[in-house]
Amino acid sequence: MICQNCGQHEATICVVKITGNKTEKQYICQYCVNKLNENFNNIINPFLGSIMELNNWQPGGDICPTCGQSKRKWEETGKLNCKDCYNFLNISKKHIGKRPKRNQQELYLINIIKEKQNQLKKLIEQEKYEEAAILRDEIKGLKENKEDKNDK
Amino acid sequence: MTNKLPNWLNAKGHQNDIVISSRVRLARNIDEYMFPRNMTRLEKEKLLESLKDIIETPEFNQELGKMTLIRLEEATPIERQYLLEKHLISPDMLEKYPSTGIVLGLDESISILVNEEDHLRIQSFFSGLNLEDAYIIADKIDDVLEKFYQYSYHEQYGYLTSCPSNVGTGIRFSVMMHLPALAMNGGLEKISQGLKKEGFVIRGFFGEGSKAYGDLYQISNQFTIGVKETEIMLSLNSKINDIIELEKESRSKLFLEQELHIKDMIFRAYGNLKYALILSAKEGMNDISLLRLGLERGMKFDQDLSYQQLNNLIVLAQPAGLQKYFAKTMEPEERDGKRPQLFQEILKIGGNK
Ligand SMILES: [Zn+2]
Ligand SMILES: [Zn+2]
Repeated sequence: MICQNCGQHEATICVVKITGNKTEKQYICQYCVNKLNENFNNIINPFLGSIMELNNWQPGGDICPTCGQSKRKWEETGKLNCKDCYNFLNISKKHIGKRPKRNQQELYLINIIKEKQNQLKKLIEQEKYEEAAILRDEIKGLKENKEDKNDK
Repeated sequence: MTNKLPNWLNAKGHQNDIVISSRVRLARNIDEYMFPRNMTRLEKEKLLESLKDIIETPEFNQELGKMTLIRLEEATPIERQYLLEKHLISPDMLEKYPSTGIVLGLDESISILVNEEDHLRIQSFFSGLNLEDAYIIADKIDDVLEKFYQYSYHEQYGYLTSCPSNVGTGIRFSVMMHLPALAMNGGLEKISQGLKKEGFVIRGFFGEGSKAYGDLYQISNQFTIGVKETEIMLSLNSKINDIIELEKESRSKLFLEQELHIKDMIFRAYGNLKYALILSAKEGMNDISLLRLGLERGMKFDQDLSYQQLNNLIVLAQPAGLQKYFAKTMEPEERDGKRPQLFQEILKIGGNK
């Protein structure tokens, strides 16, 4: 399916738009999602205006939700398109070398945000929109908190 | 773009008679983008722009000095080829050069590839056997860049790279060695098998497998995950020292058993370079290998030779190196006719009067 926002790239994500008690779904590509995240407070597209959260849409399964590459394609080429393609792999070894210094302070926040985003996804699937809206604001606050730390 | 030769050829490092250079490469990716193979041209340009800004900041300059960004698209084909011959860019980049770049330090011993297979590839070169210093400086560049970018990093997998064969530390150490005696007596075969068992590979520097020429070999680590950077470095270092000993033993044996024969080969190589009118890069490199062997054994020629002269020819004898040296575009046939002059000028042995 082609992205319903830009009409250029393969759509990999289903976006749920919530206004009052109406919900709408739109299938969009990762590029548009990135743009959307960048412009969280500075909206560029009227449809995406009141978007709250995203949930992963997996058409045939075994598709990387971020870049749209299939597991089979990865097995054929041995090339990864994005960092989330690493979900196709099962590496038994653990990295024990250098780690980014700034990650150590930020990691905690990033993990919390990820966890809350998963919760949010579940709430949307269960159509519990009021609770979802509260969680969305909480995540937004955490993200701003993280940005502040980056600035310092 | 500069005509000068990179610092790793200066023959001032440790074990200079057998080890030409040591290098370290770190693969890093930035969290906000997909891997380069899946990026739009616009995104690649954005990343290039961000590097251009970063290298101008005082924070960057204080740590790493002045560095310049070269967009490969803006370089001529010969300049790109020359960067490849100096081992600063990859063969892949020669073809897929749009929206790629290299950030180069003044003496070309440090560089950062942009939008190659990974977003950033930090490289550091030293002459001779010196993995420690090469690693320290690459690590420092990494620390500086990390202040500007959020890297893709996974708690279990480490630094995420476009090809899973680099995941973890993203580090590749490699050492370039001159191994003529081990190539002659077949010792390389055994060394190659031994290295493989311990996660290292040896490759011909010019040409692959049986087609390798010039007796120059690169030894590097194969695995990047589950082992610390410094452990890889120390174990490669000890392997290199073992190989140096084996090469030295083989040379002693060679000169003991076939002194007349081997000296004859070396002097003929000298005579060949002195009087040749047509010379291919391959023939020239094979002769340079023999001269180097003679030099290492303390042989005297009617003109004194240095390792640095021989090292410089490794780069200058190549197609773009030659054209850069004479500041002239030449077809392959013309280059072979001009190459003897290059060798004679660099070695100061002109014989065709
Ligand atoms: Zn789109
Ligand atoms: Zn992917």
